Amino acid sequence: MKNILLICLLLLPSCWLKGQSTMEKPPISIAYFSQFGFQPGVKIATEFNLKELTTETQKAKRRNLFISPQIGFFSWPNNHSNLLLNADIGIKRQKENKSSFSALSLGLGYLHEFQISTVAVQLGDGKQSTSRTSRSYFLPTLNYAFGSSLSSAVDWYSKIGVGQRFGGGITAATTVLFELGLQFQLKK
Amino acid sequence: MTRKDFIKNIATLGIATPFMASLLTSCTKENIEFFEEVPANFNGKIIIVGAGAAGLIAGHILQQKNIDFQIIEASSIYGGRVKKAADFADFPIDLGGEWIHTNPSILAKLLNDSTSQADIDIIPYNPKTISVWKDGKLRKRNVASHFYSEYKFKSTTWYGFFEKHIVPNFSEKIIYNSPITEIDYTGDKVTLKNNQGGNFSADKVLVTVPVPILQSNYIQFNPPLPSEKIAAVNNIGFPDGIKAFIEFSERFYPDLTFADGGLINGGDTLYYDAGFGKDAKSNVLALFSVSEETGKYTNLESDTATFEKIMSELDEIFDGQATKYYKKHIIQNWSKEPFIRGSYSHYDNYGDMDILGEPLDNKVFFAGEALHPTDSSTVHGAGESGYDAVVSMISG
Ligand SMILES: Cc1cc2nc3c(=O)[nH]c(=O)nc-3n(C[C@H](O)[C@H](O)[C@H](O)COP(=O)(O)OP(=O)(O)OC[C@H]3O[C@@H](n4cnc5c(N)ncnc54)[C@H](O)[C@@H]3O)c2cc1C
Repeated sequence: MKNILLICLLLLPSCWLKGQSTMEKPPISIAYFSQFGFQPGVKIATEFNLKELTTETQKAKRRNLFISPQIGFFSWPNNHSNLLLNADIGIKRQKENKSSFSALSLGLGYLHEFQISTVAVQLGDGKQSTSRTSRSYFLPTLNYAFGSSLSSAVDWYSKIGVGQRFGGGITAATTVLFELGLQFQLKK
Repeated sequence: MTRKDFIKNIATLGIATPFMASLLTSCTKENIEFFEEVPANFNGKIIIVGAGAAGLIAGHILQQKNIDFQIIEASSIYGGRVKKAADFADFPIDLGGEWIHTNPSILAKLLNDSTSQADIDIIPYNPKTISVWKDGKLRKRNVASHFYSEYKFKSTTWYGFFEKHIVPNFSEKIIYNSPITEIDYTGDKVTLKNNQGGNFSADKVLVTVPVPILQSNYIQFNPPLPSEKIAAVNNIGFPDGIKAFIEFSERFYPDLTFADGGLINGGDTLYYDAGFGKDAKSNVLALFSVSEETGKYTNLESDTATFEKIMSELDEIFDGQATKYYKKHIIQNWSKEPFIRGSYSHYDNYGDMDILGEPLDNKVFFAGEALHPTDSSTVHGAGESGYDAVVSMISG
């Protein structure tokens, strides 16, 4: 598991460097992020254009290969809290005359779960103190996102990802992640 | 709330709670409404029939109020559907009520003693490996681990909670092996008779026996119960109930197996790792079954036949590994307990609960799991109903 963490940690800066060579100011997105819709959290991400895939004949439909490093948090109160380091790589499509876009991507994530292991209940007043154990998982995902521009500087988007948690000493478990957010184009 | 209801409702619960709470607060005062300070306008004697969770909490509150009372229990032990096997494995086992189907701070509410310095360790019960046995196939459904969260005691049991914190305060006031067969409330005092002809009398009586005991007319009321109450009692469902615990030399089973179909419609018959989240080294697999189909385990001629039925089912699910690794077992057939006769109440019409709960002539009162407006079928619901009944008895 340490190796996976290492790979992820190496992956993120490398995305950054790669991205910086092709685009100067990457957008920043902030999203409501949730596992299954009811374990809520937040996600912050950026995005780098790796390669323009649009050919001369297809100018009306813009396609580009992107990579998006992300950091997310979600929690199921009184149960577990989770930190996710993730990088998505995928293709984003946009029609020339339309403000809407969609994207299909594969994610490679490292999920660290802080699980409540014991709750000590004070019998005098009902106060609870919790102790936690932590586990790490490898989380590959398949993601689909769509959205549209709200203004020249702001897009909204929605994303759904389906993945499998591996590791943590348990058998694989499917997970579904939802995102609803805003992407800000930083001024040059 | 039953386990099945819980699975259905958990999504709603998750949405309702502020998400940062668990991360930011490692020490929280939970939102439990403690029992109110009730003025006691009563100085007579109360008899409680039944020493289950409802009767014990009622006795505990009366003790705190210095009101004269006695608990009369039919069997040789207290606890009723809360029972433990202390020495079966390297952790104590709940033979009846096991999960805490609510915020665990309820324990402080039931104790109702702000001077207590004690604490108690609880584990969130969130099985990670989950399977469904359906159409002759065992299918992994680990995805359900994301939705499952309840609580259990870590190193004690529901029985242990009563044994350590509730009963020592009044243990001498419980009379055992004394099944009440008659309750006469025609006079100023209520008189009770047990099956050996022993007589008791009190100013007020709290009846906490399980619904089937009322349905079977084991207790004769004089005057008889109003016909409306009899109809309400007879409407309440009370399916068969069983738990079995089997120790194996190897572990070959997931944390939780739904043995009766899907995740949503199943949940009435479960095989689960009884030591999950506890500091347990022994491999103990438990069967929990409460449903209309539970009779297939409970209505056999002997515990041996029940055990054989369970083992053949396990061998089918787990490819003969149950027989291969079997060490020992214990069976708790609640349907065959003479003073329980099943599992817990199921209502088709919740109006019946109000009718069942109505006191008789302000002298005979009722409590028990069947009488909790939102959390019937639970230990804490039974306890809270005992408290509510005491409030009506001493303040009315
Ligand atoms: C298999 C099973 C699993 C369960 N799992 C859970 C769980 O995980 N979590 C949870 O919260 N709840 C669970 N429950 C439910 C819970 O155990 C009950 O709701 C609760 O313990 C009932 O308490 P009570 O006081 O109402 O009744 P009881 O505990 O039944 O107490 C009634 C008492 O009355 C006595 N009595 C009967 N007749 C007479 C008589 N004539 N005279 C004198 N005494 C009499 C009985 O012997 C008994 O001691 C489970 C129940 C079963 C059967």
